[in-house]
Amino acid sequence: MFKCSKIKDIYSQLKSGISKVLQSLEKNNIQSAEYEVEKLLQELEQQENKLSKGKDIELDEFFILKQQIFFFKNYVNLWNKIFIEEYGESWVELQNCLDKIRLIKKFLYDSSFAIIQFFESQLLELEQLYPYKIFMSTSLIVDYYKCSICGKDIDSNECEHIKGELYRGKIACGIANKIRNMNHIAMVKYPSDKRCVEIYDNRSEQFKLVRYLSDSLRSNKLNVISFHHLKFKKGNKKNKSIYKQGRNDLCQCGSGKKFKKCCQNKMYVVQEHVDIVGQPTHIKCILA
Amino acid sequence: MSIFDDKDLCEELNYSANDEYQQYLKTTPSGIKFLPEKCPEVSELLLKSETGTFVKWIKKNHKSINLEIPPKSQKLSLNSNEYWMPLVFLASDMSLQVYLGIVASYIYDRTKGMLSNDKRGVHLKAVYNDQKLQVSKEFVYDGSIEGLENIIKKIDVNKLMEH
Repeated sequence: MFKCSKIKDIYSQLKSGISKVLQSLEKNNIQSAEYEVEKLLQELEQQENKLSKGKDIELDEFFILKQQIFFFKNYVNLWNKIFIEEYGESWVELQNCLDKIRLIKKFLYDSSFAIIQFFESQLLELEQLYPYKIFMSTSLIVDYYKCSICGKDIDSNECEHIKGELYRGKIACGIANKIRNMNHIAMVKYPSDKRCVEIYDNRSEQFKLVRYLSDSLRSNKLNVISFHHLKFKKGNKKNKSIYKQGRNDLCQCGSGKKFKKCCQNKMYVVQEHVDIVGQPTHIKCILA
Repeated sequence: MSIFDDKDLCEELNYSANDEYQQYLKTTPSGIKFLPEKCPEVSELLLKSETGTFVKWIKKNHKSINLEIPPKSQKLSLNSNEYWMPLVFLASDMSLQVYLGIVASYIYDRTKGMLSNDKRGVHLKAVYNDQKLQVSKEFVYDGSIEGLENIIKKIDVNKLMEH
């Protein structure tokens, strides 16, 4: 996964910790997974201190490794929020996870590793269980963007960094300096930040699908690692407000028409149905 | 149809502020000029926030292209997941097809790491000289990245210039 021998060594040291996190999640034991992630983070911090004066490529690859460990922190937080029925908060953690995957895919020389593919596929399926389809997007008028690395105007010639690129293990960002005003807020389908959403109560109807998943996990019908994909289908459901009557009887709705020419064709309504599909997944295969 | 439906829009228009562009053509034989634009409900001209990154990317990857960048102006930052490319004037040595190719490879570089269901749009405006008809035209594109790539493949600049 990594080119530098130093980073390869650190990764193999951390791999058993990652495996323990996944094993805990396989048992739906969130507390144990949280404990293992904390241990990983401590180990990572120690390694970071040792590497502070490393070569450019070492620091850049360490950045990717760090994103992986932070990913697991977000990943455990995500499932924890689903377990404790804090669905709105779990959406934010889900987006944190997806952002980490984007960063890893961007900077890793080969993004076809099983671990990335597994989590990307699983989390994109999970994303579909949430009610958010339209997002808010702000439009700001800004004087200039300060480079997160050198502090100069990131768009000027004086700053040598390109936004979004890695420089000795740090990513160059443009920090908005002097926001003059907010021009408008638009509603968009594809925002840069999917966290800008309408807030729903965690007990609301909008979260019924995630709630169903949460119930399945808490009752151990499914485990976190085995959650695999969703099957969407349409089916006919009995309309409870209409009862069966003779075809030629006067319709129950009071229209004065015969039942066969009025409400008979409304006895069933088309309903979207989602199956949550689990699949046994071997941790060894994910970490391969 | 909903306002949120995906739709690619591609237009070629006669450019109205022709004097400014003709002046650019006379004084600058090669390259690209980046310009601030009018935005709804804002009195001053604003630069699209993608400008700085795009300019640096061209400098790094196409060193020979002459770039003219406006003096410091305020930036319009939009948080939709789309690339709002700046308005540009293309000098006579820079064809529309070449410019669109540059934009496409810039976007390809910037979208590395995208997830399989991520969708990003592109908005661009480029003013270029129709050498056959000796008129200036504005090329406008609002749509998906895939749509832009298809246009680049299909575009036959010679045919466009015949109109």
